[in-house]
Amino acid sequence: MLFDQLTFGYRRGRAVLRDFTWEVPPGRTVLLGPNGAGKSTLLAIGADAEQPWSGAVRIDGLVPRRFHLSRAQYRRLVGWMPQHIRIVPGMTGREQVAYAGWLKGLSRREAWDAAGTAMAMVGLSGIEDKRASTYSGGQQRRLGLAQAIVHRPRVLLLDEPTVGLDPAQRQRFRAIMQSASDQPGLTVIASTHQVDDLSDLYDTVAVLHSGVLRFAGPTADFLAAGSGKDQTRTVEAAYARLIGEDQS
Amino acid sequence: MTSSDDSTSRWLRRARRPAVWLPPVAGVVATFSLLALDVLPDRGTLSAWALAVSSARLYAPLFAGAAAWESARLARGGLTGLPAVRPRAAIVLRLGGPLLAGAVLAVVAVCVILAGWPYVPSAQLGSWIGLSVSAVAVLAAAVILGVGLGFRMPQVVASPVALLVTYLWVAIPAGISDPLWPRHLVGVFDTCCEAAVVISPDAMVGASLVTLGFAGAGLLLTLGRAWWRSAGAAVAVVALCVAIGANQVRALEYRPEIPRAGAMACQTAADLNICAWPEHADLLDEAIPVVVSVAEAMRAANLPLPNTVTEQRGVPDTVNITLSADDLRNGAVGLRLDFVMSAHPGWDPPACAAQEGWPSSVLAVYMLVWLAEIVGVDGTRLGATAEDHAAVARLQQRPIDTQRAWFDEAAAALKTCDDPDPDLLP
Repeated sequence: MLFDQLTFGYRRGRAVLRDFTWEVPPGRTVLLGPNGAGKSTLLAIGADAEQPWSGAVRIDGLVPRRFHLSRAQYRRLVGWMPQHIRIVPGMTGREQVAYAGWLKGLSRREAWDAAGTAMAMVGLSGIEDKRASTYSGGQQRRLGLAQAIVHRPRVLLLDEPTVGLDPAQRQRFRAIMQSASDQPGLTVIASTHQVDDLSDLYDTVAVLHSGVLRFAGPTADFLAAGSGKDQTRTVEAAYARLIGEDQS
Repeated sequence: MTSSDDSTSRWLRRARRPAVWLPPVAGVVATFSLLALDVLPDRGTLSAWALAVSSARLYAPLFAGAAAWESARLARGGLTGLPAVRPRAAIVLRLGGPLLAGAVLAVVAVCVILAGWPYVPSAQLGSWIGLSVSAVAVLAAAVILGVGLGFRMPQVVASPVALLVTYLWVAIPAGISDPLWPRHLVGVFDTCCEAAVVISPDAMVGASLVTLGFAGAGLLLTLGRAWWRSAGAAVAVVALCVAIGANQVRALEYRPEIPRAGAMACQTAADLNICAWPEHADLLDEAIPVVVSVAEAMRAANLPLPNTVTEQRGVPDTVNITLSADDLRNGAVGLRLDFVMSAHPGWDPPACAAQEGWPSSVLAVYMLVWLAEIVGVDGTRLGATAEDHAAVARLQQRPIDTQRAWFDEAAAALKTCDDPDPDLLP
C-alpha cells in the first residue's frame, strides 16, 4: 500500500497532511502518534472514506478514482474499522456484519456465511444472533473488527482498535487481532496514541506527528531509537524523542 | 440454538420489518376508507380502477416514513458511511425495494376489491397504463425520498419529516378548491375516467415531472456529500419541477381528462343515430327504447333535439349520454337527465356572475324540474322542494306553447346577471 504525495485537510487552506508519502510494507504495522497527528485521517483516506485534495493512495497500483471501476475494486481490497463503532438499532451482530459484507460486494448469502465466520474469528460466536446494542464495549469493538474483515480484505485499517478498553480487554483484543490478521499477504495498519499498545504483534512501527512521518521501519529499529533500558521505557523514550518531546 | 429456533427467530425478525407488516395494515385502512365513500364507480370500469389506484395517496406518506426509518437506522449504525463497493443506488434499492413491493401489493389488493381482477380495459388502455404507472411512480418517489431523508436525519426526525413532506405533496393539493389545477400535480387521479374520456396528457406530463422532482430530491439527499448542499439542491429540483409541472396543468379543470376518440357502436331508431362505446354496445338494446321515448316527449314539447345521441363528448349538436347497466336497471334516470342537460347548453353562470351575482339562477331550478318531468323523471329526484315542485306543476297546467315560451324566456334570463322578471317565476 502506497500513500503517494497526499495532501488533505478538512478546511480549505488548513492541510492536515501535506505531500505525505509512505509505502507500507506487508505485515502488521502500528501507526503511533499523539492525538491530532493525522492518523485517523490517513486511515480514512486509505479506506477511501475521505478523498485527498491531491496525490493518491494505491494498492498494487489500483487508485480509487471517482466514477471509475477501480474505486469499487480498491474498496473491495480494504477493510476499515473506524475509531467509533456504531450499532444499527434493532439489528443482531451477525446481521450488521453481514450487511457490511454485502456493502463490500459479497452476495447476501455469501455475506451471511462470511459474517458467521468473522464473528467466530473475533470470539463472538454464541451471541451473534443477539441485538448488537446489547453487546458490551469490548464486544462492540470486536464487532467492528468483524465488520472490517468480513469480506477478507488485503489491507486492514484499524483506527485506535483498543481505545476505551481496559487492560485485560486490550490484551484479549490484541490476541484476537493477531489471529484475525494471521493471513499471508495481509497488510494491517493499526493506529494508536498509546505506546503500550506496541507489542511484538507488529512487524513495523510508524510514527506520525503533525501530519509528518517521523519514523517508519522495523520494530527493532524503532526500539533502538530509544534509550535502551527496559522495553516499555525504551518504547516511550523512542516515541517521545521521535515526536520531539524528549525531556532528557 | 436449534435450527428451528434459528429459523423462527429469523422469521420473526423479518416480520418486524415495515415492508412486511405495513402493507396489510395500510391496505385494510385504505380499503375501508374507500368503501366508505358515498358513491363508488361500477366494478370493472376505469373509474373504479382509478379510485382503487388512488389508495397510493394514502400509502405514499406511510411508506416514505417507513423508508426514512429504515435508512436512518442504517445511517445511525454507520453502515451508510462505510466506503462501500455497492453503488448507492443498490443500497437504496435494497432499502426501498421491499417497501415499494409491499406498497404496490397493497394497491393491487385494493384494485381487486374495488375494480375486480384481472381488470384490464380493452378500450382506454393508455389511460389504464398511465394511471397505474403514475401511482407506482408516486410510491417509488415517496420511498426514495424517505430513504434520502433517512440518510441525512436522525431516526426520530427523518420518519415524521418524510411522512409530512410526502403528505404535503400527495394529500394537500387535492384539498385545494381554488385553483383546482394543483390536484393534477400529484400523480394520483382518483376522479378519472368515465367511458367517454381518457386521462389528459398534460396532467400526465405535469404529474410525472413533480414525481421525478421528488425522486430526484431523494437521490440527491442519498448521493450528495455535504448535507446543506444536498438539501439545497433537493429543494431546488422539487421547486423547478413543480413550477414546470404547474405550467403544464394550469389550464385543466376539476377532472384531468380529455374526450375519448375512436370507433363507436351505432344504431338508428326514431330518426336518431344512437352511438355507444364498444364496451357498452350490449347496453344499446336496453337503452334505445328509453332514448326513443324521451325523444318523443321532447319533440312533443317542441324542445330542440339533435339527431345524434352519443356517448362521445365534445361533439357539437349531439345529445351526450352515459350508459350504465346499473342506471338502466334503475329506471334510466341518469340517461333521461343527460337529455335534460343537453336541451339547454347554458347552465353555467355567465361571466358577469362573479362580480354582480347571479340572481336569475333561481330560474334554473324550475327549468330543470320542468325538463325532468318532460323526460319522465320526478322533479323531486333533482333535489327540488315540494314548493318548487308545486310551482312547476302549476306551470304544467298551462298550454304547452305557453310553457315553451316561458322556458325560452327563462333560458334567456339565465344568461344575464339581472334580477329575473317576477312573471317568470311560476
